[in-house]
Amino acid sequence: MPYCPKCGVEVDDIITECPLCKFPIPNVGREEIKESLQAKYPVANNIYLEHKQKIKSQIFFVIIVILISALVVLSVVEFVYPVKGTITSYLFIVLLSLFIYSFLVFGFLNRGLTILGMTLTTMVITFFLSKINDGNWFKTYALPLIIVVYINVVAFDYIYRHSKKKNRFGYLPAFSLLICSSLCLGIESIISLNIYGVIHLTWSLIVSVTCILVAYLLHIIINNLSDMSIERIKRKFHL
Amino acid sequence: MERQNWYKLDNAGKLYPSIASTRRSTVFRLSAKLTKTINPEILQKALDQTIKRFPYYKVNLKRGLFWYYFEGVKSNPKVQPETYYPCMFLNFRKKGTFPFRVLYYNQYIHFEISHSIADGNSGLIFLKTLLIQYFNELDNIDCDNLQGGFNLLDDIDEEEYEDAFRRYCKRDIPTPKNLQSAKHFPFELMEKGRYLFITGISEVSDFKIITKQYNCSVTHLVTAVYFLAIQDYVNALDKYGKKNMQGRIVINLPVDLRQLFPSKTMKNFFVSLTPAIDLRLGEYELEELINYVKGYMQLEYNSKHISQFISKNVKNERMMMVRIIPLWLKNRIIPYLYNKYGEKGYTSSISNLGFIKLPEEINPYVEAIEFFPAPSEISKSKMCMNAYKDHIYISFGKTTQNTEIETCFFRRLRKMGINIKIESNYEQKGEN
Repeated sequence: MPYCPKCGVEVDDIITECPLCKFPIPNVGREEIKESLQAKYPVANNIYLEHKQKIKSQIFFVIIVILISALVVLSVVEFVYPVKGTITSYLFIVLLSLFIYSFLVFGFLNRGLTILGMTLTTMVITFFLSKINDGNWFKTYALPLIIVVYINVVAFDYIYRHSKKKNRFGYLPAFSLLICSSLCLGIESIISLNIYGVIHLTWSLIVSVTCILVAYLLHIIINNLSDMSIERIKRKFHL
Repeated sequence: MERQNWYKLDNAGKLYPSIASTRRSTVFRLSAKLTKTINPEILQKALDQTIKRFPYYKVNLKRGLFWYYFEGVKSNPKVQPETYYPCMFLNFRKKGTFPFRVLYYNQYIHFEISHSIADGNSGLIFLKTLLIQYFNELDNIDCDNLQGGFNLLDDIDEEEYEDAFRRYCKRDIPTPKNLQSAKHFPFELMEKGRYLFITGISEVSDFKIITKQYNCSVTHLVTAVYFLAIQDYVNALDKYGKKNMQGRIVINLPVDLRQLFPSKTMKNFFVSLTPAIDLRLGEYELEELINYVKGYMQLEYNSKHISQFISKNVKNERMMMVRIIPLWLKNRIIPYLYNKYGEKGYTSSISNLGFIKLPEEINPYVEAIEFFPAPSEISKSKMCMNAYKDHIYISFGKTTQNTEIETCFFRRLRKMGINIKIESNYEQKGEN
């Protein structure tokens, strides 16, 4: 019977690494036995994830029913008792956007598509809103701001997922501060460009420098915390 | 007279529905490995017959105003193929859900049951009866000596669904002190819904050589080695980790009370003893720990001392202030109290079902019987053990992926000359 050279324990013929120390078990003459052996455990599904998905679908269904009912009521109001002004147009756009946002928030798509979907939805909504009140703020403010936020969110997501797996939860505050500093720089750049015609940074520089310093400090603290302390922080502050 | 169709939860069981969650399912598992692949139709027939003898398990959990209770139902539980991780959350507060499940996979029959209705010993009686009935349906095998299993033709004794804690509670004796808090493993929890097992299988004869050498029982030896394994783990930590783990290491040892206080109850009837060491006091040696555990058990495991625990538990439950709190409020308070005064008090636990015997007629067809602990959020690695035929099965149930404690434990046993075979549901590289 194969055994782990490090732990000295025997394992089944179908096992390729030691369940205790993860040391690879030498694969010598096992091909014939593999087929005849019946596995002890199935490849297990996670009941919690399935349960969570079911509840999410139920909540989404309820939200959709409410939104559709609201749309029907609005349509009746619009066609039977036409109200002057733009209030129903605003409400239509809000309800439609809520419909799309709910779909995206409930995680029916993967993360990248969800972020992209939210960005595009926001762009379309702000475009129509600016059309309703005849403003040109969509091109000057909304579009550049949405792009800045999108870039920041994608960057945050990428860094978070590709950061050191161990303790990555602990890096969250530091990442958030870095993203916050970059976001502030972007917002002030857009505002100053629209007002003065040039990029003129003041308050965002102060915020950015402070955020970067605090993020660096947090990084140092987190790196020197023991696993036990990180576990305790996680336990106390988990959402 | 019509038989009672609802059942109060026993003293220990009252706690579990309130604290049950996705991470802490309070569901433990008993498994039987047969020589042939399970026939699900026959297993269903056997379960249909068996459950008639256990009407107090053919129940659904219901909410009362002040406590939960079990209500008898007409429908029968269904056997299911095993598809999820073991000991998963049983949403038995939901209508139509039984407080147990019978699963099958290849050669295995698994009986998973909530602690709210049974303990390891009563669960084992059900599994034995189910196995006897399975072989009776499969090959018409009749057993003479049932070795603890129930005869389906026997009448149901009222004692089987009594709350034995109440029967043996003495009101006027002093109660023991509350547990001090213990150190806990600082391992990262896995995602919700995952639960891992590591089982070490060894020969009884290998253990006998060592227990004879130290003049102790297998429980004493395993507890002592477990303490040593934790010490080994702490010693290998860096200075921050060591500082955090230096302190009281407490093992929770549930003991079956049916031997000290005769009862046929099929509900919970156990209390937990808590041997402890303090790593701040220095290095411990194996012999020293065996002597400590032996001495501790001799001092604590006697009817006088255990009576104190029973009285404490029953007094807490019978306090008028506790009883009049509505159930919805109890459900919010109890998990907090359990975390603070229950699981905080021990580092890990060892449940020993002892030597399991099956009727001679079916013995050749059952290769193994194993016992697995319920998952826990605070006590991230817990141990169960039992012996069957010539083997001892030591199973760890883990809500963390870290295996340092188990590695230290089994390496210690290997160094003592005990051969071990490891089985686990860890995903191998390349598996999904």
